[in-house]
Amino acid sequence: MKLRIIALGGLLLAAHTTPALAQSDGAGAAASEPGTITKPPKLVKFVQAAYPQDKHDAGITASVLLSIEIGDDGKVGEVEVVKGASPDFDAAAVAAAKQFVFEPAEIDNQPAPVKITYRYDFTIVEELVKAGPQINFEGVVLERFKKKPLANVSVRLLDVGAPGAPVKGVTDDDGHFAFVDVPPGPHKVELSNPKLVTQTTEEIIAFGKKKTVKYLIEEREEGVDEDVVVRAPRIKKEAVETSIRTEEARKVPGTQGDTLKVVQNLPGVGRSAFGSGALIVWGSAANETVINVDGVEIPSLYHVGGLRSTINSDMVRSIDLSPGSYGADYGRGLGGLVKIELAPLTKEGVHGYFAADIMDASAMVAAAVTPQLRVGVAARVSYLDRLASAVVSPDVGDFVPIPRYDDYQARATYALDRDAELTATFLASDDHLQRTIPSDDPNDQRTQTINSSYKRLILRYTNLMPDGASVAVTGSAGFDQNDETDHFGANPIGLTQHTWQYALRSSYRRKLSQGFILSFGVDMQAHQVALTREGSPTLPPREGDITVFGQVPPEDGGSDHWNVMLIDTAPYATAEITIGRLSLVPGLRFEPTLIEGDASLPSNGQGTSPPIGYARFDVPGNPGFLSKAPNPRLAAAFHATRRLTLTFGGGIYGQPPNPADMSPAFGNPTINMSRALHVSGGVGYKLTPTLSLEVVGFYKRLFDLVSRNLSPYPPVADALTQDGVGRSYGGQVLLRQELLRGFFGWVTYSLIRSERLDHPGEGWRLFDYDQTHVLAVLASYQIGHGWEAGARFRYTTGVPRTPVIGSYEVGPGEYDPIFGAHNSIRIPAFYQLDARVERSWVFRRTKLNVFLDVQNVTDRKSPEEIIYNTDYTTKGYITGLPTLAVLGARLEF
Amino acid sequence: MTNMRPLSLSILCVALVTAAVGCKPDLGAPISVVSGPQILAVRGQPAEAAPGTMVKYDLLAVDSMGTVANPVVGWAQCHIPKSPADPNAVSVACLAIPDDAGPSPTFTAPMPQGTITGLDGGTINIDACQHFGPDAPSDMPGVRPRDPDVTGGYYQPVRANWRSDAAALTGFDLERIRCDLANAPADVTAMYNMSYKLNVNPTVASITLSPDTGPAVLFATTGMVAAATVAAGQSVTLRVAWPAEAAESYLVWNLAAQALETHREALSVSWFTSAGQYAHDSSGRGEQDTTTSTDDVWTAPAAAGPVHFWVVLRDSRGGVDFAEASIDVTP
Repeated sequence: MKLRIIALGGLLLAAHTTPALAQSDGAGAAASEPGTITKPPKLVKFVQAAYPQDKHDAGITASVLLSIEIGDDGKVGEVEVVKGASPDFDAAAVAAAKQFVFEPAEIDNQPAPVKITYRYDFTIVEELVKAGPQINFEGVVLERFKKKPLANVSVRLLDVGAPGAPVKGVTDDDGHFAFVDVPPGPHKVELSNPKLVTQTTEEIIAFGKKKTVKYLIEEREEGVDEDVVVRAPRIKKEAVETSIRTEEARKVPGTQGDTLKVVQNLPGVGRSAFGSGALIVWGSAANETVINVDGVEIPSLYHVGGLRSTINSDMVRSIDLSPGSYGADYGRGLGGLVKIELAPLTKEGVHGYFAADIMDASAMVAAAVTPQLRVGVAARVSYLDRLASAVVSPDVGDFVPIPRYDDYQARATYALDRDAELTATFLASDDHLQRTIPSDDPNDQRTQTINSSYKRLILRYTNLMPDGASVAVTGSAGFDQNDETDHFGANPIGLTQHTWQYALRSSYRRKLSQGFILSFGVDMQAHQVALTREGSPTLPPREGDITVFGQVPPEDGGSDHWNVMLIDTAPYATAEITIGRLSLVPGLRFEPTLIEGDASLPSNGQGTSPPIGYARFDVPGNPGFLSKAPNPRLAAAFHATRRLTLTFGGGIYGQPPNPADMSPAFGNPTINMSRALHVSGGVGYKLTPTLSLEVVGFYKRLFDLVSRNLSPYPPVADALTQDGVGRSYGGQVLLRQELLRGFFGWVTYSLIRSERLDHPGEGWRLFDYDQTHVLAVLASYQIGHGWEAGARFRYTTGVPRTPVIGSYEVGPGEYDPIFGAHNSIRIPAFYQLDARVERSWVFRRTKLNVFLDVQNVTDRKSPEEIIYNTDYTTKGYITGLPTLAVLGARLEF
Repeated sequence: MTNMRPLSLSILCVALVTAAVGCKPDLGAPISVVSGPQILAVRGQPAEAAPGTMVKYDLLAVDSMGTVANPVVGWAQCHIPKSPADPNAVSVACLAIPDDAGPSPTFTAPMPQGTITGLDGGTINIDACQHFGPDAPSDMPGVRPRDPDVTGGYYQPVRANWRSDAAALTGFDLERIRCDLANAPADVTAMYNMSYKLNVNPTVASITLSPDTGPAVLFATTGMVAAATVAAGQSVTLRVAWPAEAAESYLVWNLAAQALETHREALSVSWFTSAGQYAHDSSGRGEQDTTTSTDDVWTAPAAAGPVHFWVVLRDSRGGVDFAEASIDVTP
């Protein structure tokens, strides 16, 4: 399963100084189909616009940004002015664009209608008075490694000249070649020589300018069939895939323009506990879903409270959410997988934005310093806490705990050559939350302080090799801090976790023959964790705890400090096989993990029992006799018809132990890896090119889950056990209309049941975040004149809770609850209507967007949690947000 | 798992930013208002006892008419500890054990020590320091020792079942056990054993009413009390005082810091009334605050008639005292 959002905003606005396809690679801008763009549209007939004579005489130039619909036959459909200059310029540009002819785009190798953004520049080029034939495309061809000039290399422009008779030339002894009067526009260039690997590339020839290139090509390997030396197109590795464009994601009501928050409205994703932002996918706990940025794991997708994502949306190119059944190149999680791909930085000029709303302000600037070097920085700072304290009474700040968050990103990309790139990325996120509930009774005063942060420095090298292979090497180092200290009166409860993380991921992918692509790599990761904990063993709470909201923790507690190191080196291999209509992606992943700690028993405090460490290997085992073999993964898709696709996916997955669980005093140092089996199958049907229906069923089985030891007499260093199992199963439906004539929306419904069995001999219980029904309906419409409006409706079954059926007095004014059956009642269902309206103004080089995002427009008091009075004789519900309007603005340049 | 549920409360109240309204529902009368039979406190005397030491238990049983004299109470010492994973203070299993004694308003028994002979003739380990303290049970080697509270204390639960005419209620005293110091070097243990002083129940010295017309002592250990009246709907200040020695100093082994520290008890007062309403259900003084009294504001009910006050004074080592006072609310 895979849900994909493609960030396209930057690419759509790619600037060109001459009329040319406003899309250098075309691979993202035209993503109106929910699949992989295997071929971008190509402009094959350009029509010069009539320059308004008075403007020409006055020397006035202009640019008109157009939105062009291209049909699956390549013909231009509707043309709209996105950013106009003046009525005469706009009309001339539209008239010309309507006469353009394209080669249609292809999605999943099928012609498909797309919409692109195109900038038509009206420039006055007086030098175009031709003095005869001009060389406007030349270059040199060098041997790739020794950089020596290569003579007698045939250079052909495949799409210029009569069909079947391309324009061609040959390099001289200096490796030089030149062409005269090549028509403006994109052209396919082929370099060939019997001793060399044939290479095909594409160049864009600008009107009135000369293009100079340098090609590095490689001598042919023995035994390699030249026919297969092409870039390997990717096929879908997941059983089901859905793509959502960033401009759609931004407009979803309730997300305040945060692209990554739209994930919470996708099929298979439960509603997170209010204020947590946790991703509950396919009935898995939030800590079972792994989040990767460019292949590097980060601890959290959202800031504390889930108000914002920790990565600037404009830095993100795509986000893939796989609720399960994902490929062999990733692991370390029993639940879902979130893959965030960072966006390439602008290739020319300086671009960016500034945005602000009542919660925070953010900005980004990116620039192409040189043709090889591109840089970008982004930052976000929250001020909701300070704003609130300024507009409400001072003591409200004590009762209203508003997190303070900020995040920063910096990025630099250096093009080593045409196909090789080195990128350095720095990510940082900080969260602070402090609240005090004062009381006249010192025993009732409560404070909570949370400081959490992560930092990542990522170095990534990518190379698209001439033989069609691709190589990516990503190294990273980072530091995570997660400190929480609470005081219930004099009773302290705290957990600090400081983690150094080092990772190295390398991959190699190559097409070996028609319909067969092989990928393999190594995914290494090391965590060095130092932890300190004090207070009651019951906090922080765990999934499966029988407790009640607001219950004062026990006053008995301990203290511990321990260190854990986890090192796992996971080689993996994946094949992408296409046999007619059938696509198969089998994979294997072997994930041996070194688990090392410094204390297997609690300190006796007397110095007579020095800490005894441990070190062991563990692997996520398979069932049966292949228990120690690599974990299998499989994704399959059968394209029964052009509209109908059947999918299947599955695999075995493992997750390393949580270092916080390995305290000899509070946990169990012998905890090993947990594992899971995922199986899913689905049907996808395209009702129209932009309207699709997907139905998916899944089953997950979880093994070796960690749960509390509920014995009154647990052995030493055995506060947690690892004999729990789990299961979740269900289905999901997605009916989705992609952006068409200004409208997009979807309806998604998930039916899920998730259960756990904590200890052998016990009965199954509902998972703490089990939500039987999850429904989301959302739509957005471009009204016109820069206005857009949208609405979202959500319904979810309330999560389970354990009822309180009585109580007994344990102190003056203090009571213990008597619980009923575990998770046998539910919080009432949640439903809410949100709305969003926005207005955009496009200026010459800037765009201003102002939005009003209104949550809970009906002011429904949705129950979010059960709360009892002191002696548990009266029950009530804490309700969620009242109507909350978030006003914001965004200025792009 | 993350600390999800506590966090959720924090964000829930973001609503207050715009509305400044509570997101917490109205859960009825506060616990400080006594509207029926209620156990307000169970007390052990002495407040801290080593295994084998005799302890006398009594309780404060009240209803809306006042303190219930000679309540019908069944008593039991519970020998079943709660799981360390149990968020309750006392194991729910302690509700199911049979009474050891009663019905009687008081109960006297030694702090459990060693073993006893069961009905089947076998021996049963009831040692308080082994079940609820830092010592591993002799019949279950390798068991995780209990954790102390922040004052270094371990507690033996003693159950009181009060069967009134209107209800059957259960309350517990958590009687502090004097056990050996755990997880400390031998020299520290020796120092601790030599210097540690058993906890003593604090005492309520007085309850004073301070209306605009001048203070009136409603309760005093000296017996010098005065009758007082309060007009219906009037708000008055009530003050509970205690002697300076009520807040004792004590030694505690700080496991995290690996240091023997001297702390001073904090004192809390839980306020109860049969009518009207307090500003706070409890108040008190922290460890560093040497003030020997604490106040609360009580608003008289609209209806005239007698009103009962109860205060329960508790120190941070589990010592308890309680007192009662009455006034008349006038129209």
